[in-house]
Amino acid sequence: MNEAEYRRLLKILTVRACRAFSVAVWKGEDWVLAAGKSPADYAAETLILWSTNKLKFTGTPEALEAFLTKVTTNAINSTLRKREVKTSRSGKTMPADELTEDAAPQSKPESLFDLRSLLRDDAFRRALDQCIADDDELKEYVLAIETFEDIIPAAHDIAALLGVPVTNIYERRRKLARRLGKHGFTGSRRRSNV
Amino acid sequence: MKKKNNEENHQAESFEESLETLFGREADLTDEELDKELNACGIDAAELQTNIHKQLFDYANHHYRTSDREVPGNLEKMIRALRPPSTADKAKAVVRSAEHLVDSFLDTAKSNSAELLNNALPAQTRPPQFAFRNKKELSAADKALLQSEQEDVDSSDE
Repeated sequence: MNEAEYRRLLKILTVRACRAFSVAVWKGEDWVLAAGKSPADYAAETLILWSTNKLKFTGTPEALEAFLTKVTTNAINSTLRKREVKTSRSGKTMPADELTEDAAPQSKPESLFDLRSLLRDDAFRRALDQCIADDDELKEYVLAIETFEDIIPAAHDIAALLGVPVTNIYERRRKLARRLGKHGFTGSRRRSNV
Repeated sequence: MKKKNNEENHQAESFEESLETLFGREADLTDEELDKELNACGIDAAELQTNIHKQLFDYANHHYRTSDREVPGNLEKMIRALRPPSTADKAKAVVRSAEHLVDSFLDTAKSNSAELLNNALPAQTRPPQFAFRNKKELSAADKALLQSEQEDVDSSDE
């Protein structure tokens, strides 16, 4: 790998961490922001594990980015599964045994971030609708994803359904991702002052 | 324990799948698009690089250098790659960007002035232009051209 590729790898992992954080926040898991680590910290952790040979990777160099983004997602997912760290609505971090008033039922973590569950989740859906409210193309895109009930649609499936080139779907995804960052993650971060 | 790991892996896969279906793969983004998305999340790419460089550098010091252990090759390379530009590097970059700006300005000016000249005089009415002032030796074609011009002048005098 050359130096530019290392720098690019860092950006890819941080963008992945930001996306995962944003989805979690939209889903109402704001506490993840106050749990002490930023998206960049997750990216750094993955890079440290890999560069100190603590991750077993035997694939081709081309597959490395996908492998490391998966590791980053898994690390965030593990944090989301930890039940001992929760936070109050104000974003303050405290151990679960100190939480006496927050008796709101918690969703089962097993189904938390499955695409169908996400799209059916009220909090996530409200945030998503708010984010795409002024953009018909994005509304159409989300609706198209929902139309596929039994499968997780690939970009070309969605493109075929909407009758647009697949590159148009890539464009919409990028736009949605940028909006996700702007509306979800940074907004909440400002609110919780993390 | 194994069951818990399986559950966790399954959930992680679902999460990964959801992210990629909704937003696409990060590896498909260009560097510019990655910067834009980071920016949308309130992260400056240069600042990110500097911060992570520091984290990795500190990690290498703490876990390897202070205990006289060799820093793993990949970590060493990564630290080098993420090293923030020095003042000299920054100055060089400014000079390069200024040079590029001047070059592109000159290119634009040249192409605009050529275009203006072309538009000012339609091609069909424009006589071919020749200059012999600085030529040390005239070729046969030059001599023939000069001869025909001379004949034209002579005939118009008559």
